[in-house]
Amino acid sequence: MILYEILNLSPPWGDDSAEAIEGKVRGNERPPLPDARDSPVRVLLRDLIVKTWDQNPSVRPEFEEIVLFLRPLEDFYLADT
Amino acid sequence: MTLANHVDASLIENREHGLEEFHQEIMIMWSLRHPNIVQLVGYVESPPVIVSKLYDTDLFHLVHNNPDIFTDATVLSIAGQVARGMQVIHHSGVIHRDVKSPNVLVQYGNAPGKFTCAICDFGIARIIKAPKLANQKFYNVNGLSPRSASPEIIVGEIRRNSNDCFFVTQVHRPRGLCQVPREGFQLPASHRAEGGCVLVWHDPVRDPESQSSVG
Repeated sequence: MILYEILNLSPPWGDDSAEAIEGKVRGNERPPLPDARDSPVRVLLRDLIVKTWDQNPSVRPEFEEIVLFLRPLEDFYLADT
Repeated sequence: MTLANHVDASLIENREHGLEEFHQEIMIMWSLRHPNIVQLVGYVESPPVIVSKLYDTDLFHLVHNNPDIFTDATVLSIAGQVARGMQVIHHSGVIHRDVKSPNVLVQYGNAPGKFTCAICDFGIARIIKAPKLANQKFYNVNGLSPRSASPEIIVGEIRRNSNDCFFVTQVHRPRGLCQVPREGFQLPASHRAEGGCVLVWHDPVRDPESQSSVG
């Protein structure tokens, strides 16, 4: 959800109440995905968000996998910054 | 190094929190050492105050006050830093349970969009698979090799003080060193120092049940 927030630049679920959010999440609903703005990085990160919020915790990636997923992206995009 | 003293917001919001949770939070922070995790410098028992490095802001405020800096590179950098911090937390057998943007502290770097992120607030974290950590009695915390701890912190007696005050220092444009509040030191319920730190004072309701241990 942190990744969601920094891509979307607003918190997930907008003004929904805690009860409304709970009901939606239990019903396997998720907030609308952030706009990828035609950026390959954002498309990949959006895909990562979908993987990490799977209803089934056992198929969500471990942080180890997320770090491995991000590392080549960071190497490529952050190399000259 | 500029220091901040703070107790996590959950200590303020959740009145069931007691000293047991405070001690567990300290133990967890003590056991975790990583650039992307807020490092414990010390603590005060009464009032319960956690002393850490003072950061410039947090991710929540950054998103809302400086949305323009979130370029692809910045987003990637933050995602990588948070993921590495979380990897270390989980490898240590700790689950944080409250990962959110206000709990990611930010230290500005030497260029816009360049900063260090560090995960904080282990107030409701749980130790799930670290036998050494889980079985550690607090007074035996020396076994966790807190190298930076002074002797009086390690052997300090654990008091169940009934007039604890809980303090929060939110990190905001530090002006200098934050004072560790002395016992009995009181502030208005919410005191916002311009350009300084935010201190929130709370007089917790002393519920006997809140003294019981949490698994």
